[in-house]
Amino acid sequence: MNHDDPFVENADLVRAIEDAPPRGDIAIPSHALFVLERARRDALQAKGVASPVVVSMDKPGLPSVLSATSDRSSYAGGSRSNLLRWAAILVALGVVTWFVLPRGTPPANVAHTFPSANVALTFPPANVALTSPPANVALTSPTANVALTSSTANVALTSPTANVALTSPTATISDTQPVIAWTSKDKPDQKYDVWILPAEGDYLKAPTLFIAKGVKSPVAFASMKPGKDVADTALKAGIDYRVLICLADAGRMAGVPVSFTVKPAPAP
Amino acid sequence: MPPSFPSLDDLRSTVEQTSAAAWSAAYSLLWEAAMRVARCRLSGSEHEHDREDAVSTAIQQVVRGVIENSTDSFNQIQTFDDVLGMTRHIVRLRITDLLRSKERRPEDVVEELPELVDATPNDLRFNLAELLTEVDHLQPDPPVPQVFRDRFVEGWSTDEIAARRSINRNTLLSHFAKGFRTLRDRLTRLEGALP
Repeated sequence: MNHDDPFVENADLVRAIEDAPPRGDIAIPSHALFVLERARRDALQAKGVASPVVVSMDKPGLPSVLSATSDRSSYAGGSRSNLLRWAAILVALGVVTWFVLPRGTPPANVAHTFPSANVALTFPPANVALTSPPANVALTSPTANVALTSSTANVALTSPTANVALTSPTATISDTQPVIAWTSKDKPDQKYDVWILPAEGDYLKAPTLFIAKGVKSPVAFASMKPGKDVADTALKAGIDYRVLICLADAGRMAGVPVSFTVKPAPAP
Repeated sequence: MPPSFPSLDDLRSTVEQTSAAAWSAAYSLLWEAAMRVARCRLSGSEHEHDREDAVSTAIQQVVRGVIENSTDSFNQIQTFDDVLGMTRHIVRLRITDLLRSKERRPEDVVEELPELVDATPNDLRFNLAELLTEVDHLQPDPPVPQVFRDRFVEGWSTDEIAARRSINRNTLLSHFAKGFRTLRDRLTRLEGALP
């Protein structure tokens, strides 16, 4: 420790400044406000409270990054476009249900894992590609393609899946060596495999950029190993990636990839 | 007039309208509290995005933790003051993680601050407004109040302050040392005057 450093020598005063009661007079950036609201809705959904996730029609794959006001009006269902959206969702759900409902004796696993009401609320309309769902939604709901067309539907529905909510990296970060962190509802000693993958392509087959196996949250980026033929030691600014967290040794099927972006470096 | 804090019951409410209103009030308070920690520990304009990321991520974790209320740490939260404390704690950890991954000048590595064993009790906690008033009274060095505000309110790094105010770096550190000494004396006298 540097004893000539006035900040270290006066740590208690610095700490007092840090801990001073807030007055709420620092403006929150609107993008941050939206991220916080999304976290709140995710948490409510995790508690089993139906709280609709609004999916942006103008930017597929991400929830609407609009002001809180517009989000509130969205879930009040006040506008005509929202009514149409909900109608489309209900129709899509009806079609999915018709296909999925068992005709004879249903396999127990299908009946057991059939989407709940919350899933229905977050189900995207057919023309919306929900590529970055909140972890708790995606982890418990099959996608339309799986339910309708995949012969491996039973595998997807019944495979053990990491019950985690990613807390870092967030949707957009500036750190090229982010800490990977998540909260988990799995058993306390559960270990996970973590991949960082390219933003594009099937996440089950996408080349590994970085990987950490048998780890618990948080995972320092430095502890991740680069994938085959990857010479980088950090992420690249201005590039989109996906992070995938799965139960250890259960393969990539046991998780859902979440997209994030590394901000471009500011111009000098 | 300090703002009123939202109740923990409202923050944990499963009624959408109640929850939204409570958190709407909480966000700005949590943001300010977390950002103040971030500005103290991760000073410098070049870290503005890092601070925002750390603060946003920490508050997201707190929002989930408070609402889901499923871990021991969050179960122990009884008041909004505890929520603020938890937010500050998480943002400190996140900034420490960030600092560990980067080489920084010693004066800016506030991660080396010794952690206090117990949180400061409410009645002994400095009010920032009072503290800054005291800073403004720091004499006889005219730049001292300004450099304190630069550092702890604006979040500028030592180098930035030195450059922007055209002060030699070592002189600036002397200003801080003298300012802290004077501040401590004044606060000690103020506390001594209390009944």
